[in-house]
Amino acid sequence: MADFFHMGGYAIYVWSSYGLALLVLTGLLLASLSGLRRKERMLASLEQGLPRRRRRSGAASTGDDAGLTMHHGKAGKDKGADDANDGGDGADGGGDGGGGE
Amino acid sequence: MHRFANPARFLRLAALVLPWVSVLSALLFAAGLYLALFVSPEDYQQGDTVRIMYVHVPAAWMAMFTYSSMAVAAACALVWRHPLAEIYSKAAAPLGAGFTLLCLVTGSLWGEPMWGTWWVWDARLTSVLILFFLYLGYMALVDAFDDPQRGHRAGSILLLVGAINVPIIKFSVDWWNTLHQPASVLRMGGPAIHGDMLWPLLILALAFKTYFVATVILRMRAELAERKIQTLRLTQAGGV
Repeated sequence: MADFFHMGGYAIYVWSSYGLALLVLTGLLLASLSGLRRKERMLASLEQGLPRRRRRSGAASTGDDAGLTMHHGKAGKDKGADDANDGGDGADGGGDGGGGE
Repeated sequence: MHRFANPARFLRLAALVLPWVSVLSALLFAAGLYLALFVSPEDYQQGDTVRIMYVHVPAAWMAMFTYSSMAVAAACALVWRHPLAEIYSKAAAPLGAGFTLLCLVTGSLWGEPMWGTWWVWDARLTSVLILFFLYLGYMALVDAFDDPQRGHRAGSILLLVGAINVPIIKFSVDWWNTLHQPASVLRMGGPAIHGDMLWPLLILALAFKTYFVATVILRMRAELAERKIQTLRLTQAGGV
């Protein structure tokens, strides 16, 4: 076993290569995973703050003042609570909608 | 091809592929590392340093593959306005940069004991260093514009121009004198490398490839979510 770690005297070169590979590959994977989670959470909270009827009918009736109150997504939270059960549905709609852009 | 141009369809397909490719990657890494570290013999000239090859060569192949695929995607983005092409390039770039960095540093770690130097400014090493800078330049350029569309357009053009570097890397060892050895796997007349060393190499190359597919899917999903966030913010800010 000591022989194995010794690598014929080249231990420092061989093991730093494999160590660096581990570092780069897991680092990129973890960064990608955490970035994806963060964005999906942000998207979910944004979509929750968005009343469904406004998305469906566009800027039909209550357009202007609704737009002002929901400036940063969080402001529409009280409204969004009613639509919370529809969250999953809304996310699907958002996916297809995104496709059209 | 255009059947997959719809992001919603891509997301469904990605959700189907991701678990398989992740498991496959883990298995390939386990098998490849076992063969590379325990089973494969040491080289009669290079001793145990030859084991660096099992990391260095897959990283180098993936660095070139990733860049080539990004250049093809850039062409698709510019010519056909394929909506996923730009997203792919942006998602793949940090992975490609990581592979290139890995290739450069493991190459140094192999060069020091075998060539007696960490670095030489010869054609192969320099052109790979340029590839690394192309990745970094692309990543900086895409994010440098307030309008993401302009950033993607500039980035795609950079990728196409930089594609000239890929054949230069591949043939640099034949066109110029270099310390780097010529191709011994992908060459006319078949691989000039014994099966005991070729198998771990090929298995680890596949492991790198499946790792790339799984990670690029995660990154593309993040990028698609980011676009949706931007669209939602715009509609909310505009009150439309």
